[in-house]
Amino acid sequence: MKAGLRAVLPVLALLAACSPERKGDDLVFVSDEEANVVHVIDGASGAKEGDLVTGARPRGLALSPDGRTLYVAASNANRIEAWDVAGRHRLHVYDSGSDPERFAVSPDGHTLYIANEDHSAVSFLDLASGRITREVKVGPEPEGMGVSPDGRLVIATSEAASTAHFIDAATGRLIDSIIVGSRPRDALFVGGKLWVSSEQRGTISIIDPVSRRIASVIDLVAAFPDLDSAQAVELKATRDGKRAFVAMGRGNQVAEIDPASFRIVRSFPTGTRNWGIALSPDDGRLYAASGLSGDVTIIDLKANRVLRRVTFKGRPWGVVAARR
Amino acid sequence: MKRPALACLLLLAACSGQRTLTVCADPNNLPFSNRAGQGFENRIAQLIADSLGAKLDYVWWAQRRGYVRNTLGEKKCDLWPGVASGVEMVATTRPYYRSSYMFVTRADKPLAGLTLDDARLKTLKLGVQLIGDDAMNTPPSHALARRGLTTNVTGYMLYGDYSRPNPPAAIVEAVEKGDVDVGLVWGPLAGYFAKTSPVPLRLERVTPWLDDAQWPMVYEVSMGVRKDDPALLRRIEAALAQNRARIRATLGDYGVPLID
Repeated sequence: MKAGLRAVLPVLALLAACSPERKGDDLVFVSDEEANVVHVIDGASGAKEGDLVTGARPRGLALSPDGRTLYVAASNANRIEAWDVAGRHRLHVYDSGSDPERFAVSPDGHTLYIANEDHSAVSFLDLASGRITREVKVGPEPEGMGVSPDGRLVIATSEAASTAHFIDAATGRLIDSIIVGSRPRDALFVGGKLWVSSEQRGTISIIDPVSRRIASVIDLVAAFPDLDSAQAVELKATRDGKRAFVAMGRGNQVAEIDPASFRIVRSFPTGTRNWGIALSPDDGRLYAASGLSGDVTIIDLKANRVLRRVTFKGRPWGVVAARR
Repeated sequence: MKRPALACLLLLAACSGQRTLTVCADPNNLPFSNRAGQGFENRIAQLIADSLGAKLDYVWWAQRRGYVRNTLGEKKCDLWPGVASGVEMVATTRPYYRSSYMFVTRADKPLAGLTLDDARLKTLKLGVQLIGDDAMNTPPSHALARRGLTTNVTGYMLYGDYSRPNPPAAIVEAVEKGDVDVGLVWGPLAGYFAKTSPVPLRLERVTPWLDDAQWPMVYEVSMGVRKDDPALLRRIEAALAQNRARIRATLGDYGVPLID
């Protein structure tokens, strides 16, 4: 057997060498809420590199600030799992409180702020002790989670109450709540402003985090008049803050927005119901996970074109990319 | 032979101009709507129909459980003129107004400046709107219940006694007559019935507007269409935007408290 394998291996290696796509320097992790795994693919080629078997219904994903640890919210298992990116093995399982959906990592990497969807609460998970140190009541069906770059302000959006909640990270106190567009899905700080997406309205509210007032609204419905359903779901921005992207849900596209002018710059076609998006560590590629067509679209952000689509059997939900 | 005939028919239909916008509305629910067309939803629906160049028609249906299933769902009508913006059973337009639950008191009583946490609420007679006998209740009723305020609270069914005109008016009349000292009433009802009250009434927003981080006292209101009709949704949204100033003036005429 060993001899047989040896004979085959060089052939495989040759085949790999002949394939036109070389391995990229990043790994893409795709949560699949139906298959109960996190798929792993190569960022450049889209080549499948196996699955991480997680607790039931994995949805929210995030990386530790050093990019070495992947956190996965296994919603129906009521837990957050920590996985080693390099070794692809599970490091730890944390009790997350009920039904974790999205979550945000504090800039110092010590705390996860978790939306407990069926429990109208945000849980603060202290990673060192593995304990939930605070539970903050928020509106029903919390989903979008954000944290300010200085780590002081935690944002949660309530899908059912159409609110954005401002929480003091140090004390867990609910500072304020405001009404945003219906079915808010994500919250992200971009260039000193808070962006909150509204799935149902197809808008992004740009909020001044100090006055907590909506300063502008980016309107995807007006920008895409030919779409039956222009929605706004997950938000991402490049590290230099110069390019922002929004998953358009059943609009089946990702739109790029100029954060300086709030204008829509371009859009990229994705699979059906694009929910999660992620940038490669060098911001050179965008990955878009689509649940209904079961795929991830890989987009080249230098040439601004779709490179390829990788299809799975289940329902991709979230996506993140880590350096190998 | 058949095909050319069909094409002609289609052309005729397209060219005959006047299409009909069929609105589902409650025949007995002022200030929103009534069969005589006196509600603000009647007026706003007319503005929308005019903008669409359509003839306005109504399917009358009391807004009770099964309302959507029995009206929009069965394609009896195209438009539901007033729905909470976040509802999922229909596709909602962008909100065309935002209002709040109000504390309604008699102006001749020293009851200004109430909040849900005001100690005076413990000893006053309170009136609150109730939706039904199931667990779904109005945010003010939850807010009072969680403060232990139950024995001094009278419930007024939102759907009320349908044999009398505009059944939801009962809670405002109870304040007028002194049956209760404070009514916690959804803004459009509070504003409209306060305007015609024989005694001056005081209206103040119920605060905190988001109670216990869970229960908003402020809601946005949209129009609703069937989910399978996104084209109509966009046309209605465009018509709402086009008539924005007129709609706000109409709401003002009816005393609807508007929250910016």
